Amino acid sequence: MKIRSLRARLLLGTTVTMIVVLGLLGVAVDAFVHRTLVKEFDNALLSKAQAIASFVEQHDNEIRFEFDPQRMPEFVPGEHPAYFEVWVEGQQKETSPSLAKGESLSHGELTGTRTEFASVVLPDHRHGRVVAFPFAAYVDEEDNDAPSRRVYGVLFVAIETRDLDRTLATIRWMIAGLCLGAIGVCAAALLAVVNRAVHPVMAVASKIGSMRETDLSSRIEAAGLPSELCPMIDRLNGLLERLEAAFDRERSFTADVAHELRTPIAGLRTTLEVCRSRPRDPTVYATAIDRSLKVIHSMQTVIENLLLLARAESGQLAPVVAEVDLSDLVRDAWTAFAGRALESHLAVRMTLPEACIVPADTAKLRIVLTNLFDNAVSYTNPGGTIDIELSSVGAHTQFRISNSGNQITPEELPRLFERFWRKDEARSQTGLHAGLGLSLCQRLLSLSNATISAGVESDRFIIAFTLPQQPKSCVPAR
Amino acid sequence: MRVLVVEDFTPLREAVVQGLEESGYAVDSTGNGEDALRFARSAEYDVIILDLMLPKVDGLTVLKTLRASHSPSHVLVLTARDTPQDRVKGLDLGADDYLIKPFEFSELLARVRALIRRKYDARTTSICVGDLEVDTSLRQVRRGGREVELSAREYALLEYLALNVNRTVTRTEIWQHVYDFNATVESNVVDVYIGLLRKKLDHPGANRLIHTRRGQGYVLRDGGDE
Repeated sequence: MKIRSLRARLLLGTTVTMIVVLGLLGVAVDAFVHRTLVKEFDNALLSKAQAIASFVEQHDNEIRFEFDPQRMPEFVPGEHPAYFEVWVEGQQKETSPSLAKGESLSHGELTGTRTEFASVVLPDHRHGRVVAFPFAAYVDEEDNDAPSRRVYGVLFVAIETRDLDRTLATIRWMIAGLCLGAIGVCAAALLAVVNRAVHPVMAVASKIGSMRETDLSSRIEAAGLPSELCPMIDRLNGLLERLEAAFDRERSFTADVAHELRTPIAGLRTTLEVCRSRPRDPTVYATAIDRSLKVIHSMQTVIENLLLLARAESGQLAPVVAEVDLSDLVRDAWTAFAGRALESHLAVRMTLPEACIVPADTAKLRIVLTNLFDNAVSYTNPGGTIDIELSSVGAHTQFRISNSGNQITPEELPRLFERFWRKDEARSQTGLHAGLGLSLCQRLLSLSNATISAGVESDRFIIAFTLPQQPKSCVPAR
Repeated sequence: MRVLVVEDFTPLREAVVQGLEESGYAVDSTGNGEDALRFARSAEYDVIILDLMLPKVDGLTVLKTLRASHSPSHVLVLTARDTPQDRVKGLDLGADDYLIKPFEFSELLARVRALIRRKYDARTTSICVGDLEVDTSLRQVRRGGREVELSAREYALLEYLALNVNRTVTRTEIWQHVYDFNATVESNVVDVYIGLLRKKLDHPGANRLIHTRRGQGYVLRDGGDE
């Protein structure tokens, strides 16, 4: 099972680690204390054995054991007696008074060849420790009749370990209690710390939850938050900023659309109201109707461009690619503007290949060309020049149009492709230039991965677009 | 009364000009802010109808410049921008009234009339001088309870005199307020129209209302010649 909560994961992880570490530590301390105490106990046992061994004396070849029960009352039969056995030359020589007749001391796995200790069950079924202590019988140096051979024996001494076991058990419980207590206290403290650490996350969450889609201007304050949260907050604020900008653009776009349509509607309404205000000549009515139709035509253009733009932006316009002669298309699109160019005495120079076959979206390219030609004819100074050029550049096809009488400054170039942007904050006389043309061109071209760019060169305004396709065939101009 | 129409959308401008002229106003018009300022300097307009989005010099700048030069013209701002902030900005810069496109033409006319009344401190729509009554909203003239038929230009002349009742107005002032730049008129046209007005207003046995001040001009006043 995967634990989803960060808090639970943190708590569980640290608590388990703590239990393992403290558990091991407790066991180690317990083992150390056990060993130390048992060793001390054994030392005491050993010194007792040494004392008893000193009672074994050798006179010539005779072994004497002069044990005085008065001096060592613990070996006398009583409530909790200690025991010993003295073995000499493999024979049990003496036993403590506490050992009843026929009773023997369990030696565990002790062989008696060296000083060794073992835990055993005492004859009266108590737990105890036994020591095997090999010794040489005491020989009086001053005795002249030194024995020819020294007698060696083994002494087994056993003492009950009830007090030791109790102490060890108490210590073990204490260690266990301490460890458990430490784990509990730490876990509680950890819970509080984790809760506190998680609190900012909850605070941020409630802040995000209280944000409204209508007001995107608020930001999440990163100051005072844990540094781990800051990258997330920063990214979130960045996202909010981008969203706000997008919403603002959308809002101003709506306002622009309203403005773009309100003015022609005002013109239309006033024209008709004034015309209707009194009886007039049929010719006056005709003039008013013609004017109204012109206004309606310009409104229609704005609306159609808007619709086209909206469709292009929402991806509703799929490119329809077919082979087309671009030179032909350019010449054909220009025909509609030749008259206006002539009226304004514009000198137009076309540098086109005889034929230039490229796979392209003809319908959209025609809209692009129409918009570019319209701009050029509208904004070129009277008597100025327009250069139209189609060429193949590397693996691409490039269309370039430039005109004299440029009014755009280099700083304004990036804004050219914004919707409703105009050099002058005013409508042109025709109402055709609603500032939609270039953004529409950019959108339509991007559908077929073509790029459009604008530039300024002395007094010339240049706009160029590049199709990513190489001409299939290009017949140079004769 | 003389009105300047500043609007760059030709169909709207032409329709407004036609409607105002047919209502008896002397109207000049332009499609850009630069000309608007030039026009406003060379003639005293009673009302300037000003679009805010204009080529060359934008409407707000025109407004600021007019107010800085203490132009007595009342300005009616005409705009497609309808947010309260836009209105506040326009009014704070010295606009006298604000009308949002699209509008009803009769409302525009009513607002122009209201601005003219304000300019001449006339609180009511009807001005009475003796037994002469000039109703500026209905554009009707009565003398002794009898309606007097006047041409648009005659009415404009009388209205100007009536708004300046008891004050001598010079021929130049009359010229400034009753004729636009396009009027091709003889120099004595004011005297000719005054003559026509007198003929229509005066009937036997009634007081003369329009008096000539030799070398100064004319005055509309109830009372005999001095």
